Amino acid sequence: MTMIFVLAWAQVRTYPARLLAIIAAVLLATGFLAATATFAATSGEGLRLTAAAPLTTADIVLDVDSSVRDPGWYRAVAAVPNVRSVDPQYARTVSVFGGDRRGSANVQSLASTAAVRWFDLDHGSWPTGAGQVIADQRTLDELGVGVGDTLTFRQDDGQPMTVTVTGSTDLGFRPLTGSSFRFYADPAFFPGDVPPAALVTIDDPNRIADTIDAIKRALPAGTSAMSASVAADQAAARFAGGNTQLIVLMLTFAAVALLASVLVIANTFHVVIVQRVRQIALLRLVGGHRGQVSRVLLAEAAITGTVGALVGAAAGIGVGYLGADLLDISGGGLRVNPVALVGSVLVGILATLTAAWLPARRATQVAPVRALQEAAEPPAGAVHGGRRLVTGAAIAVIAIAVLTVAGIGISLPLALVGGLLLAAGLLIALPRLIAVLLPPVARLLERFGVAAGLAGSSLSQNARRTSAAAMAVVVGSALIACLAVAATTGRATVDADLEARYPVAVSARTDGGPVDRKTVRALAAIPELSVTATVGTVDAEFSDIGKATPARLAALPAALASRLAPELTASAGPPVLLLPGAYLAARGLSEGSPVSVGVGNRTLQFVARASRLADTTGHLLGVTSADTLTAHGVTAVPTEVWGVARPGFDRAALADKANAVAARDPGVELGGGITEGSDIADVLAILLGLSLAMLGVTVIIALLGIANLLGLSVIERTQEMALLRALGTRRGRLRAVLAIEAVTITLVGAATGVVIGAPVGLVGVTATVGTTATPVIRLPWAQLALLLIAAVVTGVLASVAPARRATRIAPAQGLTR
Amino acid sequence: MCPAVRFPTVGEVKTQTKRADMVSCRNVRKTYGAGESAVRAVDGVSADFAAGEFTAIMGPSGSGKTTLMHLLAGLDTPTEGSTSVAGTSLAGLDDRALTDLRRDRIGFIFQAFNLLPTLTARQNITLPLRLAGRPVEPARLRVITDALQIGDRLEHRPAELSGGQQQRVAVARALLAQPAVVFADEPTGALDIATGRALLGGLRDAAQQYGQTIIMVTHDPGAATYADRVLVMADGRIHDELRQPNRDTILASLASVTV
Repeated sequence: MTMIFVLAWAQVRTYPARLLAIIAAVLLATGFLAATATFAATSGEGLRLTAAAPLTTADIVLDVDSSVRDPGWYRAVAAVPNVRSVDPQYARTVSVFGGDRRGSANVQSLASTAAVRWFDLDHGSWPTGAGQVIADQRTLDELGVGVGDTLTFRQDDGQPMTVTVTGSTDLGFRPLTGSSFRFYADPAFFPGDVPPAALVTIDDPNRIADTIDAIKRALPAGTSAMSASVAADQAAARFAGGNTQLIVLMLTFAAVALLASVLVIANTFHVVIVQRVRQIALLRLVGGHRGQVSRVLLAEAAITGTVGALVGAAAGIGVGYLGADLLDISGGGLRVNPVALVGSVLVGILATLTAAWLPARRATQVAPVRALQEAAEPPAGAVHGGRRLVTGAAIAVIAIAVLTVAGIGISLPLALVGGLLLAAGLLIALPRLIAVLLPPVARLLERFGVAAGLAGSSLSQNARRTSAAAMAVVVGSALIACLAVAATTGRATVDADLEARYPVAVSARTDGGPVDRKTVRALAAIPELSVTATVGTVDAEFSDIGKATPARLAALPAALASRLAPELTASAGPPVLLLPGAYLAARGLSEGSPVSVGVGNRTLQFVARASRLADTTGHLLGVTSADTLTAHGVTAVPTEVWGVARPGFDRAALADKANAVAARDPGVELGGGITEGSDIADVLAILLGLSLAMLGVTVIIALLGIANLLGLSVIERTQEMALLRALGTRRGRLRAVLAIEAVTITLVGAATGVVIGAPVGLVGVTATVGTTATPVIRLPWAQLALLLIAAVVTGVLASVAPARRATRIAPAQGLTR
Repeated sequence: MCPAVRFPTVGEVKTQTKRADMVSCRNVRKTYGAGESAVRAVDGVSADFAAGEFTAIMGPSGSGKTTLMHLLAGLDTPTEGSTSVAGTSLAGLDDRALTDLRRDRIGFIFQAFNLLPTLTARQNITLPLRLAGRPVEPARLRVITDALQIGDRLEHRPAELSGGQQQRVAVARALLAQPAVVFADEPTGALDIATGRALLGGLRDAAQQYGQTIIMVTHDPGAATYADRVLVMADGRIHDELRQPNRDTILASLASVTV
């Protein structure tokens, strides 16, 4: 056994460059796995910490349900024996207006008992009165304010209030709230509120169970008490799913990287064995058993696999932590799951061994007598016949059926199963298919001159090997195409859906007063908006059916009406009132039903029409034209500004600019399409980013795999190339032959990948967003073009080193035996 | 220049008694291909190689000498006839048994690429023993490598050795496991004349002192004069057998088959 290891180690040490491709492939695959594991552990711990942090200083947590109306419900607990302190926990949601940002903020109370506060201040002092708050440094940075500065808070229905930032802390994580920001204030900030929870500390931790029982007896109905550690676990568990989707996505990537790596490793080992036929024969000649020969190769695989897997795991830890850090969920610090990490390394090593298995078996077929022969022809690889093609095609057909059902039934789990089946089927069938395709490709190439013809004949002669090299490209390209198509189609679908549902991209409204003229001008100046106009509103009462409903009527000026609601501008007939479809349905009204609306002391008669325009902006109920109201002598106050976006606008840019305008005017609230749908847009942006990252990985793996293949081709064709040189072929033409070979492989691989990946991406995204919107198919032409360009560049680059070797072949080598 | 190699007799190395027929073959035929294009590389050869005997096989290109050697060493399977090494018939041996036979009873030396480039000279020499899991006797290794004058080159890799040194490392490997038979295929083909002659002297001494059978394929009449006998082949058959050959008898015999 030691001799086996000595031989393997000697090989690795002497020819590290030959095994570089293997190490790189294992590194990438293991890195993906380790990154996923580290991301999961780090983000899980970060989320857990974030959720549980406010409970860590307490012993017992009290909760109330909505039936409790007494703001002092918790006070009785102070008298329970063993209770040291009771601190009510208040929370409010406000709008915050900072230096140049605005957003929703969650304000939480700080415990009066210093020991129950779960963080320390880094700067400034604790807030004391109702007008003081503190926040974490990141929040302050984003709002562009510092300690001592002031901010404007505005409650839903209240007047704006000015608060002073008295201190800051560095929490190291972003608290999970439904809001953009979080502040902490003294209980004095929340006068009259019923605290939804309270934190209790006790003197004797051993009597916690008895104390909880005593507290339960002391509290009014509708309250509960539990130990803080249990509450923390429950809080953490609620957030545990927060990173699952990303982890599933990353695992998919890891699986694909692993697959591509296995293909590259197997091909590289095949190359290595051909290069070493005489050494293997010599080993057999001097008494090495077949088993010993294959064990030497497997030991090499184990050595290179281990090196690649260890480096990959180390790199993966870094990448995984960075990923969690970028998403602000690394608050618990770097967390490494040792089992998952060891698992990743083992998977990397096992993948290498699995990939090396067949080539090692083939190496044992090398006859000992080959050591005595001058020219060593490569061992002939067994060509698997049509059975493989049929099996793979059958699986692929089943997969397509499953995918079709998934696409029709809009089922994500089915789509996933179908995708996996398809991958398996294609992996089995595609190499044969590509091998079959190569001879026609070769004939096609012959028309493009001598170099292309030579390249084509070499590719089709080594069809099995060529198709194996192309497979690595296919796998990567399919994933890239799948992700890019899913992202762009998803984006187009969501955008189209939002545009249909929210004809008004941006709206800004006040509580009743006229909109500040500066705000109107600033919104009008946003280039993404094609039309902006102020919209007058007036209080109204819908009194014709059932009880009177207080609401507001919006008066659409002609500029907007012609764009958004042509039915309002019809001159003939009674005036039209646009109402939400749901409102009409609930009232049993149909299109064209007459409705009467009380405005002031007048009653106006309208014809009802259902329109999305009416349910776009908050509590507004009816939309009519400004001319109609004017005709009836009703004066509307310009409380709103509506903006219609240009076609194909950049949603994120528009949202940024509108928010910047709104940040300067605390009097308005933003609404409209830009306030919706950002979550799914974020996910789709991540998808697109990941597809580009995958492109990088694919380029590297393909580069290594194809360079290896061509290197082997040069070794095998030394005679042929020397003969070509002796007959007067210039070096440039030899280089061209190899470059054409490489580019053909990458292009065939990339094109096959796109043909497979794009439909899968379409089905996948249809299954995901199809439930909520009509799918709009859009192909990512730019990304697909980038993929093909990358394929050509990768091919040319991969041919550089083999071409250098080929051009060093002396013409005389073709004349000797 | 390389001095002639001389093997001292050491206590633990027993001189084997000569025994007849260490290697033998009966009516061996080897046909490649089939039908019209069939080629009879070896066409009915019977020969015996006594223990301790040094035999050279000569003949023009294509006379079947290399194929005969491959058949004798079990590297190729005869189409007809039988071969045996050290009393074991090779017919019907599976790959494992054949490998063990090569490892334990046969040494190989050939023209070039005798050594694994990744291993040191010492590792190359001890490779067959270590593949067998057998211990390496340091004393014997020292005696052999000193006699071959490569004792100070053992930690070098083949690329750092001269052609002659590489061949002597191959000889050391062939002799260390005390194989019954050493097959040599043009062992001096890549060496200059003086180096080649020294190597052959060493081989002949080993055969005499340790009773090892040597079967050498060569083109070189000078090299063949080191042998106890020469078999001259032509068209796959043994054409002539020369005992205690000298340059003149060899050349005369060769001339009769090449004309």
